[in-house]
Amino acid sequence: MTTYTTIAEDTRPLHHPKTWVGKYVWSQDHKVIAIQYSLTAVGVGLVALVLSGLMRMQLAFPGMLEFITPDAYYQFVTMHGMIMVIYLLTALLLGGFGNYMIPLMIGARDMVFPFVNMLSYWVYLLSVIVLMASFFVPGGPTGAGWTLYPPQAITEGTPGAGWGIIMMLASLAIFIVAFTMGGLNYVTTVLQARTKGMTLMRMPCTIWGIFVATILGLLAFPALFVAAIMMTLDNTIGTSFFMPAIISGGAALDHSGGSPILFQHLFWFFGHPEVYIVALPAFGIVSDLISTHARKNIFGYRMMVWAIIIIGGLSFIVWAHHMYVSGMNPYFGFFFATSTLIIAVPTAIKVYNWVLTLWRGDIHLRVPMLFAIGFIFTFIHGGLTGLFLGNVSVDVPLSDTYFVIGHFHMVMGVSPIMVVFGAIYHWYPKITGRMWNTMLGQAHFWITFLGVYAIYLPMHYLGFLGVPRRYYEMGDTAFLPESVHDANVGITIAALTVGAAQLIFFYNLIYSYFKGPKADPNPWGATTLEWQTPDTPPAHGNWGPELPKVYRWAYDYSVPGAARDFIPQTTPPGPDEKPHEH
Amino acid sequence: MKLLRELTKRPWLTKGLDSDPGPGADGIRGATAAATGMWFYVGVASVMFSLIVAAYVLRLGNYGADPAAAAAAKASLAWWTLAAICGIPPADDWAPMAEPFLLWINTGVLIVSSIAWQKARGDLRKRRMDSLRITLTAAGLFALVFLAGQLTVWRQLIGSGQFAAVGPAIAFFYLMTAMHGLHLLGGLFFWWRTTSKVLNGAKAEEIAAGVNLCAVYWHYLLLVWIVMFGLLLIT
Amino acid sequence: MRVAVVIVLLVIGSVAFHFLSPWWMTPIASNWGELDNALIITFWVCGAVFIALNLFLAYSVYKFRHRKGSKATYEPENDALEGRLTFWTAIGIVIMLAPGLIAWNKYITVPDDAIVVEAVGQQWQWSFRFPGEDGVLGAVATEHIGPDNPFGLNPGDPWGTDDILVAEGELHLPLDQPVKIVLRSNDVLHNFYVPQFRAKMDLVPGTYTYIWLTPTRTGEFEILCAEYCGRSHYNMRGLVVVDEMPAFEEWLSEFPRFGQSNVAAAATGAP
Repeated sequence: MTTYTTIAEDTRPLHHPKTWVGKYVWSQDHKVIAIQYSLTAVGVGLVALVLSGLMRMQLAFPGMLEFITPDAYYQFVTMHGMIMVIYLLTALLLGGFGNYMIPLMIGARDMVFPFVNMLSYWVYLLSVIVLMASFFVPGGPTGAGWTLYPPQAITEGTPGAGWGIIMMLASLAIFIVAFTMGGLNYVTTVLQARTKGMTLMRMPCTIWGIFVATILGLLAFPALFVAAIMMTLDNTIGTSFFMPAIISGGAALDHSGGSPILFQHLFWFFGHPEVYIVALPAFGIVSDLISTHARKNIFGYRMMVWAIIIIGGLSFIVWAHHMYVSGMNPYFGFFFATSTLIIAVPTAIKVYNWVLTLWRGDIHLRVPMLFAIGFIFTFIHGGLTGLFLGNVSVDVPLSDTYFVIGHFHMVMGVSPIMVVFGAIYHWYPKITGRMWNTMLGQAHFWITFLGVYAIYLPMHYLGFLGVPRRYYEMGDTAFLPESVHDANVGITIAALTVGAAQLIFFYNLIYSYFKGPKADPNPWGATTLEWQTPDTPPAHGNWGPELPKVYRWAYDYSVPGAARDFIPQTTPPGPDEKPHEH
Repeated sequence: MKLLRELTKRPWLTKGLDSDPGPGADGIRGATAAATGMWFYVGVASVMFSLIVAAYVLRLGNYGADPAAAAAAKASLAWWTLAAICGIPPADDWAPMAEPFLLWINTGVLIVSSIAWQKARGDLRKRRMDSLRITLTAAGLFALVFLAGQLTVWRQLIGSGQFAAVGPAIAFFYLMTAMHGLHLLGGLFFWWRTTSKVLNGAKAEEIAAGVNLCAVYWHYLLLVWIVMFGLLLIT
Repeated sequence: MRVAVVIVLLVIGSVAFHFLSPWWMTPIASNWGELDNALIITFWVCGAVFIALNLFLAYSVYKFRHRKGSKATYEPENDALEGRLTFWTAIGIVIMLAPGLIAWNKYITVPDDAIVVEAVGQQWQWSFRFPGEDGVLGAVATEHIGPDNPFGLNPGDPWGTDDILVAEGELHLPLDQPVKIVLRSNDVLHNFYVPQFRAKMDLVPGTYTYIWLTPTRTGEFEILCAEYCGRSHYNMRGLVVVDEMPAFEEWLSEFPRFGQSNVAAAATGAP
């Protein structure tokens, strides 16, 4: 139980906890920690889902729910955004899937720093508790918008400017500490705990996506950390990092010379890589889902890996495309528009290769594959609308309108969530040893997939029209036709339907956990290591007495001449296969 | 180059173990996992300190709205120094900080602490365990003295009314010293773990990784401090 | 199978939605047709890619769906194909980026004959200031703001004396006259946004920003704040009225000059 006792230094067999508490609460097993992370993230995500439903109610039926005052509305907006981006998606994709999949897919017994891994979860839980506690402090949670731009975030005109914002900043700082502990673990494990034969280019795309996203997180979150601390100081002890001389509530505040734009640079230096922290694991996972269920190797594996690395690198030099109309030096616009559109090239390559993997495949349209196809469709849509906003002068009329809302929900809300659902259906049999109900899974897919498109497609057009975002109500606005209100009603109905449809998903998972049929250890005929464990679900230590050995890449599907349409990575080369090329 | 070669391999062509050495009996390949973890953490901390420095420079160049005040600022020495170094003139409300002399002494103490760590590495290599006990203890104590010295500077500044809200330079001074101090405090945790093992008679092999990693980490923090102190001095 | 059909239907539905929905850009009222053009180029390039990729996706899913005895092809990669795709993607990117950058260059370069007006944002209202005959806006600072001096003009600055103060949320602009709108905030971030003008920029406290435009048709256009600025953000409205020049001048002549205010009188009266 020490911070740098690694499996490396601990030559004894893994310590198997005996008690229930040791097994499921203070557990150092990556699989248990992954489940803890996932359940917490999904739990807090449900809060954010309910908040979005309330926001939609206000937009479609202004004033119907009396407790949704402007203050409450902006608090819901803020908490919804922050929870979804950080506490749900980042935590679920890296803390959840990263934790579960890394050791299993690279053939390790656990993370290299199991104690730090456990600590990471408990610190994450603390950040969630602090965040949730902000609902109960005087003034309520902050209503500053998830971007928390000063001076507004810490002045009187914004709800939750007293306690709420402090709780938010504290929670973020705690989250970043938790993430850093987890992240150091993931990268070190990927680099050093791969089993024999698992060279870098034999890793499945899932691991590549999680690995690069973790590095992005490690290097990007410090920006948010610094910004949060500086804003806390501005708010509490009266420094002027971000606060210029301003009037608030009719009186001059005791600040001068600070730069609000400095905060925006720090925030987006974190905020843009954050998009890829969510997207890259999703890219990786969906590659493996498509390949497995199409019985075909991922097309252009090397290009896929390079694209992940290139996108990760470029994501650090595009941040100011969120700031074209922020009043920053206007000449930055040329550079950031160019760098942003360059990043579209490797991203487009990935899309082509997903579709080309399907081409001449043997496509089994099981539920995980349906979600993967849903991902391709929504990601194409969200990716292309990104080209509007990345291109500086096209962004001018569209920024801060519903076009932006539509775009980022498609690209970093809906499409990663499609992958999350697909991945849960894909790995559920391995994680629980049970199989889910297909009909319920399909119903869940169809309602979710069609519903989200009905929500977000019209939003893009409201954006073209010029409807600004973050409006509690539009009131009388001359240039808006009456039909805009009908659109809002329609969007809200679709949103509530999609929200309710998630009950099918939870019912399916919970029911199947207890009553589902026993699952085959490798029901999809997958090649990767996690399906080759001796036990299903994998036992503590994952691999029995011997670590597995890896003899081939992760995508030997439908190899000509092979007896079956997949060859697991653990299968030694057959007599027809040359052991080494050259 | 090795990495590039690795990343351009066509993995579907080679079957078998691909002459991969694989992990040792402990399940880990190459260097100790602790070393990899520490180097990644140094990367994380570097981004954080760099951003603080970048924020400092940007804040320095934030003139505000008043062109007259900006013109007045140009009369100062600080303006010319910064314009020459960073291409950015200081803001109109920029008040350079008067660095207390004690900071020089603290810097010296931190250098001595780093030297002690370096000597500890030498002792370890030559297996001089008695000397190692002394150098390790000294390294940690000097670091503690440095922290106490930094706290004293804070107390002196606060005592003379120099709160963080007085001006941007002083606010950054508090921020930088606090973040640097916290990192050193974290280092001291690992110092204590290693040193207590040595004092309890641990063998050289058991503490080699700890001593080497701590030493590197200390040098890194010394470098960070010198950069930040230098920035405060020239502006 | 079903999913392939649905994707085709979604593509057809999206195209139909585009043509049938009543929501599209408002009729433009400024010179920023270039922004619209850049947007429309992007729209058609992206729209074509959207249709092509999704139809190909649907076709692949339909054609290569699992049937008894079907088998996938083994093809790890195809350098030539990926090279071609990269090349054409890059071409598409350039086609979209170039007009965007050219328009941006124009967007940030104010013509010499532009008149100046200042738009001031303060939670949650707009007010405006014209520089008067000297064409120069007088210096301002937060510390001067008071009930008698809502704009915070420095009484000691002679350039401010002839500044015309429009302390209400309605701004008139002359037709076909380039105008540089200097943006300033007294408290938090705001954003000056008139949908029909297309142009948009944040107001940043502690510094100035600007946009410029030429109104091209008369009429009344709403100003909406487009940067979240606190609990009444959605109520921070204003109005721009584009007039023929004579009507504009008549409107402007009704507003007081800073030199006539009590603050300025007190300052000049003092020794």
